[in-house]
Amino acid sequence: MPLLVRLDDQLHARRMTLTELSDAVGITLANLSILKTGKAKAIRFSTLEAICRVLECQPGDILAYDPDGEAQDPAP
Amino acid sequence: MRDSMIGGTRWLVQALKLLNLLVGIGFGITLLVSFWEHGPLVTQLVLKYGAAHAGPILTGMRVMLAAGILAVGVAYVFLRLLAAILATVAAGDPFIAENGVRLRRMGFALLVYQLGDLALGVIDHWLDLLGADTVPWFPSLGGWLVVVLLFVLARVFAVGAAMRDDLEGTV
Repeated sequence: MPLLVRLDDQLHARRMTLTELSDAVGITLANLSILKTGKAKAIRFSTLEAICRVLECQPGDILAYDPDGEAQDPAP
Repeated sequence: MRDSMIGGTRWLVQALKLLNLLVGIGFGITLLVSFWEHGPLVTQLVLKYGAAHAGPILTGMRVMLAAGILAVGVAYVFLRLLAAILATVAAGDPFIAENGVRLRRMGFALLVYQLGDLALGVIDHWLDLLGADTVPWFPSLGGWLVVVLLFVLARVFAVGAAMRDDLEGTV
């Protein structure tokens, strides 16, 4: 599943840390870390909505599909 | 579920395993004695049922004892799997795929037991026709229901564990 999570880029652009995002969206740091490192198997719409709201971006800014790219394999 | 209830059930299963083993040893010893004491046993059976029926009745008795030993083996497998499931409950994490596999195996074990019970019913009827004193046999409808229940539960556990696995990776 060659899906890329670009949460790091969005955080960097807004000079925001993962901890700050965690506080703002009300999602644990551990779960956001799983998402950021591409180890998540799925993402809830509510999570995506909260992140987009705080980072003022679109889902496409966070998720990307690269058919030729290496998959960010979820943890087994 | 209270821990004491689980602890009590685990103790009960261990006690049943021991009891099952003792019953198996009892069946084994009785079967062996039926060969060691073949002569006196045949004499007694001839006196009671006549020469024509003594041989077949003795064979029927031995087959039933052998089936009893097989049933003890099946019960051991069943109880061992049940103990393993109870251990996961005690550990606080019973909704795992392994328990689905265990339930399916318990279903197969009970299926073998039920099929053996049907075979015993046939032997019991045959001995009855020969005029032997037998315990009346009735099919265990509850047992068949539990077989179905175990297979359904096994599937529920397998699907539930897969769903939980998916949820664990959901952010």
